Amino acid sequence: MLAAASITREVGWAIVIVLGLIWIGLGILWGRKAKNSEGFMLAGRNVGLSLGSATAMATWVTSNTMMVAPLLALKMGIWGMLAYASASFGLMLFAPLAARIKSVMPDGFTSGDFFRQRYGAAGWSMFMVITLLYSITWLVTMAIAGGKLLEELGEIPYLQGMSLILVVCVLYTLFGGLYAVIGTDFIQSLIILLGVVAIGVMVLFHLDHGATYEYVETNQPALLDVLMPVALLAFFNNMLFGFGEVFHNNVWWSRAFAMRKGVAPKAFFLSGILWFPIPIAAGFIALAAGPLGINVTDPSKVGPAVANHVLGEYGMGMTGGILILVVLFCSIASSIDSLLAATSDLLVKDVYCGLFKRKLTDDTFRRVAAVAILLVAGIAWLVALPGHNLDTVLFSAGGLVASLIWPIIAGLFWKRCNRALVLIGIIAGVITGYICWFAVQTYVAALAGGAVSMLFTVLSRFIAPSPFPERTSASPNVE
Amino acid sequence: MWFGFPSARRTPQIGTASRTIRLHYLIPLIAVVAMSMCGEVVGADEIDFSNREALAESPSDDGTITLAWDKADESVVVVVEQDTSSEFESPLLRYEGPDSATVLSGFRDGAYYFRIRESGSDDWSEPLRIRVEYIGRSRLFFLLATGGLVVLATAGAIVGGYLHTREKEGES
Amino acid sequence: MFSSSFFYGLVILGLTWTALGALALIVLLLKDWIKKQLW
Repeated sequence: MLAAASITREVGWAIVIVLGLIWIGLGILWGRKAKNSEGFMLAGRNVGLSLGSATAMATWVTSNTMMVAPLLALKMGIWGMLAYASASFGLMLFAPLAARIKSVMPDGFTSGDFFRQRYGAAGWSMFMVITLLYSITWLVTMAIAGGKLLEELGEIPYLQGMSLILVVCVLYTLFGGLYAVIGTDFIQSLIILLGVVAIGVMVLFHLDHGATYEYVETNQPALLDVLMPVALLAFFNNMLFGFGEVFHNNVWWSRAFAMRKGVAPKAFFLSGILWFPIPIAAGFIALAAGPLGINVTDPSKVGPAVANHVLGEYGMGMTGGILILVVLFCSIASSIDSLLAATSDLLVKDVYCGLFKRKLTDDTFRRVAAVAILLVAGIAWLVALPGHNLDTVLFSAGGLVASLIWPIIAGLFWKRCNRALVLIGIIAGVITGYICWFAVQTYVAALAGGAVSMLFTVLSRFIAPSPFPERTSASPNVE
Repeated sequence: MWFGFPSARRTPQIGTASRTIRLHYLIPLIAVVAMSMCGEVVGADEIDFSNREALAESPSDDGTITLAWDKADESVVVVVEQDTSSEFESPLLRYEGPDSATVLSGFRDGAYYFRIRESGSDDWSEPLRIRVEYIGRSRLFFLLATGGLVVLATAGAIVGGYLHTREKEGES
Repeated sequence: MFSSSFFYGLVILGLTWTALGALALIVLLLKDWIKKQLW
């Protein structure tokens, strides 16, 4: 259905290998800047506005943005695109959080550090379980998406394609640390933005605007409705999902730590602004499927299907396929590298240093980091092997991450609270989220989890609150 | 089963005239009847939507309907029509082609009928009735209100907390 | 119902905004580079 023969296998391999070698080369080059663990994990804490904004935006653009935005537009129309775009508010709202994080933890390394300081060992353990589960699931879905895309667009067998993408990302992250991740993110973000615009403009020019609107109005009227129930629910749910994902994950905390003082809030806010239009620019093409007579058999592939069709009509069959592959590869790589780096950081700083009380020296940090990166990648590879669609696991985790929103707000801004109540609230939120996903209604999991956890956290401010512990801690990582 | 029909046709009503002569008239009659029986029998094996019961029983809550069918052959072309009544008075052509499924989206609340046939044949499948039922208004507004509240409270707590702590830091 | 002009307006806005985003990143990169504030 994806006009499978638009790229030959040789061209598919060539693209991935050439791009891969470029990223790895840059990784080695930029990796030389990292002289110690701070350099490796946090790019010297001196990242500027342009690289900072680009990396935050690019990491948040995943293959989901390119594949799920059209899916949501297909199923939920105009509100569907806007619902997806609302996830950008998470990046924008992280701006004041980033400012506060840098001020309370100027020498901090990870979000795990923060959780342990504020909520003790119990809170930290809960946080680690949630974030590792979520991050690895996300990583696995990206690896699977990469493998499947290379298979469909480039006729590369799934196992080989999936492994190749992981190997490329592991190598440049290994050599270059966060410098490589952030540097390649900038290039990848430009490719993504320009690629989305190119494809979108071509589709837009190809459409008979009047006929397209008329077709949708007649055959798919709910997509144009202002009161489209499921889409409106998705709007708030997606927003809260976005909040939860961004506020808790070390992917963004590490970037906050990596950016120069004063840059972080501006960079995150700007990244949200940059990200907002992408689901609209990438998603609207799904509404062209019906008018163009493209039969949708798998809604998750409607984006590339329409793009391929239109580019084919322009006589750009091969080029079009290459463009789509490159854009998707960049969006996948920009997320995989960040997840590898940030998750391995957690393992190194929170587990190796924090839990096992080992020290990192300028000589040993690369080896330890390498082991952690390989471990995370290895687990992801194993889980991705069968190629089962894990999207349900990821999307059902809305309640999981949304339950961390208010505990983080409380920990950053409040002087006191009842910590046990907050932690119970996390558990209650997680359970509610999953129950809602499976048994109640789609598109309410994050909403439910977030609401329940919010309730408990707000109550914790009034029911037997106690002050947060002093900022200093026994950990070698935290100030 | 159809073997029984021709003999059933050979009823006493045909007449009391010589049986031998009547049989000659019967043969073309039997042949015609047998051929039309064949048509109906092929109809019994004709293409149909898979998962019919499940689709008919549970309404779609998001306005998307996925229809799938089993085809004997890759190259067989099917035609799928949709209408708001089971009589298919003014049917809408939804799909014509060789695929084995089609995802239709953007339906509003209501009941929709679908039928399918192979493109060479005239025999439609039984109409399949699928309902689209979105979440009820009051439930929807409750959830939207909750969502709006949580989002506003979250944004407020963050911005408020940030401004408040920034002031404090400014003082110290 | 969202009108045809709203729909196309939104799409054009989305595409233009995305393109401007790419431009903004390039401009910011050059600014940071000149001031040696890249990283």
